[in-house]
Amino acid sequence: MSMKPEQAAGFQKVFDKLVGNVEQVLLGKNRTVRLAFTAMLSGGHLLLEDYPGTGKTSLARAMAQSVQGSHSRIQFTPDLLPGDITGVSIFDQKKGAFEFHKGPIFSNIVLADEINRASPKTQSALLEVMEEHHVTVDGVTHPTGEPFMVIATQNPIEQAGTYRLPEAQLDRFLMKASLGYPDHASTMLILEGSAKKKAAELDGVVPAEMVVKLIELAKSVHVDPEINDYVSRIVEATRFAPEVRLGASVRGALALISASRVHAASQGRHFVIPDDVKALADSVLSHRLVLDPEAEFDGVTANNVVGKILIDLPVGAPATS
Amino acid sequence: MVSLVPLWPVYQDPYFFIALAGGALLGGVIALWSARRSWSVLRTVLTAVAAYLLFGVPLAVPSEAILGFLPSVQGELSLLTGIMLSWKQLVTVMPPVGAYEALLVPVFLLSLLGVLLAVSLSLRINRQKGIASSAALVPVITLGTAIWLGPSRSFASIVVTVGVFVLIALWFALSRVGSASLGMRALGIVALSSVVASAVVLVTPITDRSVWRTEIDQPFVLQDDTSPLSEYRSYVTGDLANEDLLTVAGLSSGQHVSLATLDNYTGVLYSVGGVAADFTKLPGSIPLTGSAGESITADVTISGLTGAWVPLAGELGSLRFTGSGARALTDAFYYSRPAATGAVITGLASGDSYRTTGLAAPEVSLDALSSLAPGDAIVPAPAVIPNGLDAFVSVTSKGKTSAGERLQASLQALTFEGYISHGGPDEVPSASGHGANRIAALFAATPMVGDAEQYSAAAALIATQLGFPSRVVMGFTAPEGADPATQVTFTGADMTAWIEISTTEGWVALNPIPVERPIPEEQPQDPTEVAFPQTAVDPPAQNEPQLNDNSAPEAADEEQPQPVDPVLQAILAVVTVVGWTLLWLGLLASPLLAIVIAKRRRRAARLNATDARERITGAWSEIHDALIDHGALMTASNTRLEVAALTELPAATAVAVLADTAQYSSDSISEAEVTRAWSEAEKVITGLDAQLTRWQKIRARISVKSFGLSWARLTELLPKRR
Repeated sequence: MSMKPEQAAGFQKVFDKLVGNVEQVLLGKNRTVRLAFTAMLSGGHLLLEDYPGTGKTSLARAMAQSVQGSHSRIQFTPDLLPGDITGVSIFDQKKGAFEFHKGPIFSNIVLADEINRASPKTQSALLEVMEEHHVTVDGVTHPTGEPFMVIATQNPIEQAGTYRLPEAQLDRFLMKASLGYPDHASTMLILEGSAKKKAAELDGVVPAEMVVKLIELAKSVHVDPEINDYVSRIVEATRFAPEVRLGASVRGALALISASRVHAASQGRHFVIPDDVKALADSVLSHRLVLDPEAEFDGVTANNVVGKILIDLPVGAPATS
Repeated sequence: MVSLVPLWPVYQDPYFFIALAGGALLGGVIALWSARRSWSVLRTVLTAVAAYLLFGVPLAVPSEAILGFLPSVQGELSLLTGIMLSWKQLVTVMPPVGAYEALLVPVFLLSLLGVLLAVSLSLRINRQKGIASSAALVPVITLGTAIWLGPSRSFASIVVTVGVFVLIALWFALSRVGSASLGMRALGIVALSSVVASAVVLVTPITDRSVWRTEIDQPFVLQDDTSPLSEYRSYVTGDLANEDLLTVAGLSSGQHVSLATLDNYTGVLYSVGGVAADFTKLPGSIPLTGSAGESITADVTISGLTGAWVPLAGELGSLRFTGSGARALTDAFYYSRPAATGAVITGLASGDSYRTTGLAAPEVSLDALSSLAPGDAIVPAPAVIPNGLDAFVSVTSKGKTSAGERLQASLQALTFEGYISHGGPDEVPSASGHGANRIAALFAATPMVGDAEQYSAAAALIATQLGFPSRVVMGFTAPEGADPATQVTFTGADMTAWIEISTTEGWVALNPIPVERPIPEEQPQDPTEVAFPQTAVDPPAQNEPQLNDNSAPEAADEEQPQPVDPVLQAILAVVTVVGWTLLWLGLLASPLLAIVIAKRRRRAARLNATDARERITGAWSEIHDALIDHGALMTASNTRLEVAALTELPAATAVAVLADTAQYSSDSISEAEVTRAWSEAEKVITGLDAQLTRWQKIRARISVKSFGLSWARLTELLPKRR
């Protein structure tokens, strides 16, 4: 059943409230905050490529507070073990049995800070839980609870002692964004202490159960076959672009549709239009592309490739003529 | 291509358009390809030369192409020599030339080079500096060349000239080369030229222009030759009298074979051609101008006939020599349409043969002459009017009013009072010749004695005096019982002459020769009985410009024209000028009107679409097309909301949202939404117009960009340089 216009209006209202709530903590980051909530309400995970001290933790915490959910932060280091994330089974001498001790992954919003500093083995521990929303230890499955979202960060500058995220793991992040440094005006406001609240002080906007319902509601946004065609052509174009060695996957196309649904609903619309797709294509697809080394050497970035595709690719004859 | 259309009257053959279109296509493709791949000038020129040699034979020398499309060695030679020689040949061959020899080379070459140069200039020269506008000079130059090579009289040239300037102005207006002021100036020039052209066309009649064809010395001027009529006696009484001169198949009883048509009376003799009787080469066939008459196809074989004159069956339609010497005879054959006479400069010889088609002038008996009125054919005025002719005409036509009746009366008197004698040993003395003295003697003698030479000359002069343009034709007449299926052999004794007079129904032939009958003894002059007054006759009228006057001179004297009210005349002149000017302007504006009408039809189709969704998206399409025509920079990747943002008009965003909803949602669409979409679209278009100057609005109205027609689009179709 398709979403109704009034449901879309309600969705927009809640979405705006969530964004507004977080913006009390993060000044001047409306777009990133909207992207983060778009990822959350799409049931996906967010990769933030950012410098230290730009508010990544605050974002995760503020989002958790807003949805009245739990929050945890994992600082990834080279010696971090998979068990440090998922949890471990410890023998309880009193009970005479192994007891599972949940790791920090068991929260509604998990901040995986500097994820690329952990070893591939540890990084891969996130694969199952990100996709399936549960952890299996000693043959026992432990659900993470809903909503569940991983906000991972990585430093774009420091390369020493880091392990590049494998393509399979990158593909599991719904979108990649960047908070970036605040602009001058926002910095001034921060320095003047104008931020209304700290993340921990934020009031909840909606209960976590409501977020789950919103995720389900977003899935009912109508997507016309012409939109599917447009998304399909965009994804195909990434595969045939001369600068690209590995294009976007089917998961990427599904992620773009899913995120576009949430974007449409967040605008109070109960159907997706090409503008929704164009607004999210870069964030959803860029991190999934593997560039040709020669193109990379020439300074071409994945964002450039996706941007060029969006400029070159017709929305579709019926859409504009 | 349009600028070369003035050459059509010279060719009048479908191959003209094939050569024209082929050259333009080659030039256009080479120019586009060259621009797309950034070829050097040398490479472009070499490609054009290669294309000329490769495609030139089937397009410009089709008669030399193997199987009609493959180049041949002879064809390539003709193509190469044609670059230098075909220009002069074109203006020395009588039009229409068709695809004769290599005469299509000029049109093919001009078309190829013109389009190549114009397109190259417009695509490759710096547009920002406006130098690309020099491309507009190319059609002007080719137009001038076409007019210079074309016929001396052509109304189409004026129309095409105006048309070319309209196209140039359109090009200025629709391209981004010109600024608004330049475009307004171009439009102004077109409007002004149309008014001036209308006035010029109306005020001055279409007269002969000075073109290359009229300026160049024709290779063969036959009217200087001796008149064949002066040799008449040698045919009928000399050695040739019993000699077979020619054999003709295809003639019916009474049909003529003309040896020469004589329209220029010098007072000494009747000769061939006076007015524009230049002989030119005849490539094959020419269109017949006669409106009536019998079509004749005759196969002629020459026996004892010698000389340059070529016997023809009426007004020439076509002539094709046969036999081994056909090619040489074809090259040596010349024809003068005004003189209706053909000649072979090398002379005919026994054994020469040809097939000719023609249109025989209708034969009119003297009894039917009264109903005829003088026509408007142009023949030279007689240099001398023989004495006694005016008196003869006055006496014999006394009491008759119309020119036809007067001519009938005079010629009937001529045939009634005249007797035939060739002046032979056993005949009544009769001097040969048809000079003014001999004709005066004919009229003075009682009885009148002469033969076809004198009577035909006298009859032609009488007809001329009565206002009928006339000419003497010398030749043969098929005897009674002749059948087209059988051959008729003519001897020298069969030579005869008749006259042709121009009437309102065209040229008609009539026989003014008296019937051969016994000649009575010469009677003493009796003032009471002779046909001539003894008093002094009117002075000769040889200096009167009578031949170009359509009405009978004497009748004109009797019927004075009613004076026309000058005010009415002025009003009529103004109405005529205004009418023609409006017609011109209408013709000039028709391409622009076609664009406007096409846009209106497109809008109507969108507004009246059966599906409500299509009607709403149609409203958006109107905005989109308006933006394109206004020159907005958009790409196909722009969404509706992005495009709407460009306009900075809230109404555009409203229509974009409605169109997106109609196209991408599953909601049902109400009529109110359709109405709102179109209403908002109208607001947007009005708002867009409000941002433009008057010139920009006009340019947007006639822009064809929204139809997807632009140079950029055209060049996009070509492969890019690697």
